[in-house]
Amino acid sequence: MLRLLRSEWFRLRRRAMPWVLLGIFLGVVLLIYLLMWFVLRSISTTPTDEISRTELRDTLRIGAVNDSGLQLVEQFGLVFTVIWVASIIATEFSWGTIRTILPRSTGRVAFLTAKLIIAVAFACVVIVAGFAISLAASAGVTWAEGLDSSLGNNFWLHSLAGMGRVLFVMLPFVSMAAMVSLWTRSSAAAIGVTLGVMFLEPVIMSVVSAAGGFLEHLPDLFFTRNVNAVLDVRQTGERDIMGVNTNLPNAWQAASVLLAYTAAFGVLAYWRFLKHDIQVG
Amino acid sequence: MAHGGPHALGFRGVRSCQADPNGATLGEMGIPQHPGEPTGITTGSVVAFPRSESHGGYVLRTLGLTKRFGELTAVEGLNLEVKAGQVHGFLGPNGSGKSTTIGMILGLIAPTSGHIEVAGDLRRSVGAILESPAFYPHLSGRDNLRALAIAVGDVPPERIESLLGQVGLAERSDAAYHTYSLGMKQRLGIAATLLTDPALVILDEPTNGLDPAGQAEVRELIPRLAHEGRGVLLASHLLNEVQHVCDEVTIIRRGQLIETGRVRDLLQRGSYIAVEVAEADRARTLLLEVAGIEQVDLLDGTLHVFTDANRGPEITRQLSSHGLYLASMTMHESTLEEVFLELTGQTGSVASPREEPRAPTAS
Repeated sequence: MLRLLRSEWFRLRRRAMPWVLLGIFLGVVLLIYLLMWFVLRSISTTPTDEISRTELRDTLRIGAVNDSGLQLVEQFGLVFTVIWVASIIATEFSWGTIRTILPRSTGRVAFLTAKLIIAVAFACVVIVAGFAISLAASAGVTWAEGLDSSLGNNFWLHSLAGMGRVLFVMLPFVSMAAMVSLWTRSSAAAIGVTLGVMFLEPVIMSVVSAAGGFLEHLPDLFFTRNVNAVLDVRQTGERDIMGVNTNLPNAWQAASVLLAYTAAFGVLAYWRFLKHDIQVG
Repeated sequence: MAHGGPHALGFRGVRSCQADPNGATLGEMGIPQHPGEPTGITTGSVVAFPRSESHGGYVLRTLGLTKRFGELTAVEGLNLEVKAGQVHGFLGPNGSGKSTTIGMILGLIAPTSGHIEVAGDLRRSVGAILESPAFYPHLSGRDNLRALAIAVGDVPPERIESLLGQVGLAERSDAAYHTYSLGMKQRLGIAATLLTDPALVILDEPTNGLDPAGQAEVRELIPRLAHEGRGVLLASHLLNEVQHVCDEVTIIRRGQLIETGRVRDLLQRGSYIAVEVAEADRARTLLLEVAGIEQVDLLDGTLHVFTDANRGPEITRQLSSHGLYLASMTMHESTLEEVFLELTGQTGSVASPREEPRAPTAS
């Protein structure tokens, strides 16, 4: 296993793609902070706009990076992580290198596990780097605009916990991307399916739950509300403009659902890989 | 080139080989068993064993190897042996199951049933170049070998440099793989095959894409590998090449073994003495009944006498003693191509009469 990890790392270091993805992701995070700062400076000082200015200040100040910054990291970092996971698995089939490397491996379980470890490691790098950029950007805005620079109690502990939660909610999608990659042997399919679920599921569930009755709680079985519950986003009893119950599931319940998805996709991925015949000629 | 050769490879342990309680034993399958062999057949297992005399000196053995893809049987009951120090040709028409068999040996395809035994540590003792070698396009030739070396472990860096030099890639070793020509890619595949100093080398169309000089180098390399004590399994459609470098061949068709044995024995069976003589029918009867020759065919007025070439004088004597005088006598040595085409049913000529698949002879 260790040798396979070293081989994966050896190949990863020499490939431009992960560094490009990381660079683009960090650039996007920074760009969003810059855009919000630009908007803040552009909003007029009339009383009607004061609420917007206050909200934007609260979002941009350094003390809010554990909420707003990590939210950005989760939403955009997940996209790039899914692209990376799909690539490192599916390209072994498209390049045919699976035929070269697999006979040299200590077994298919070890081979796939090494891939997934690298995938999760990339996710960790994305989260940490994204958080660092968010922190730096929000610090810059805080200083430039003279915002409240207090970090609150146990800031770094909350940061660490926040990054851990972000990693946790990424895992089902990482697992899904790995599974689809192995079943289809296509990175495009894996990216399309996983990102499609990510973006379409909340929209579909919003419409479904608006029907009321038992359908109102159907979203609790899927991703978005459980992700939000784990990230501790909006734990109120309010209903939004579409009348959707924004009461999120209990965080532990949500974590169990996400863990179940992670495990299920993972089992399917391993099962497929162990059963799959790799054609030689 | 060799670093101690295959004899230096230690026993790294047998992979799990639990006897299938419902499976047949080697004896029940009528397969010769060597002392110390596992007695049970596992379904779809690949087993590594220490190289020892009790295993008859072979580096690869398949027993009853079968692969079915749904309703399609790609390989059925294949018994194949490759001995150390020998080049073993593996021949068959397109779609006969050669690639599937190689895939099973390499662990890329799971056998439906049957048994594969390989000498030594499976990861290190088998090197293979497949029809179209595949490497990471963004890595250089050297880095591709290094990535493999890291995965398998215990490969000194000097070996990589040595192999790159031997296959003629030293000057382009830092260039990205995707910039390589087909011939260069094939050379890198050969280098990767030899990376771990394997006991068994599988070559599937190794000269594919090589220029004449490269092909000549590969033709020289193959017997050298065997001379170093390795077993070489050569799958190639270039039968002239196979005829000259292989010691034994196995021919399969539609997934089934139809012939196996020494090359010279196969060629011998396909060779005949062409005899032109008046009263050909009478001559034929004489040769069959009096001279005791097993097969004499009459084609277009010419007798095809399937016997040793050194029986020519005897044939002349037999015929002349009965008043039959030869118009001409020529020795026709068959080629492996002729034998192959005959055995695989792709020609109508009469040569070897063998129809039934034959189990490998015990060594």
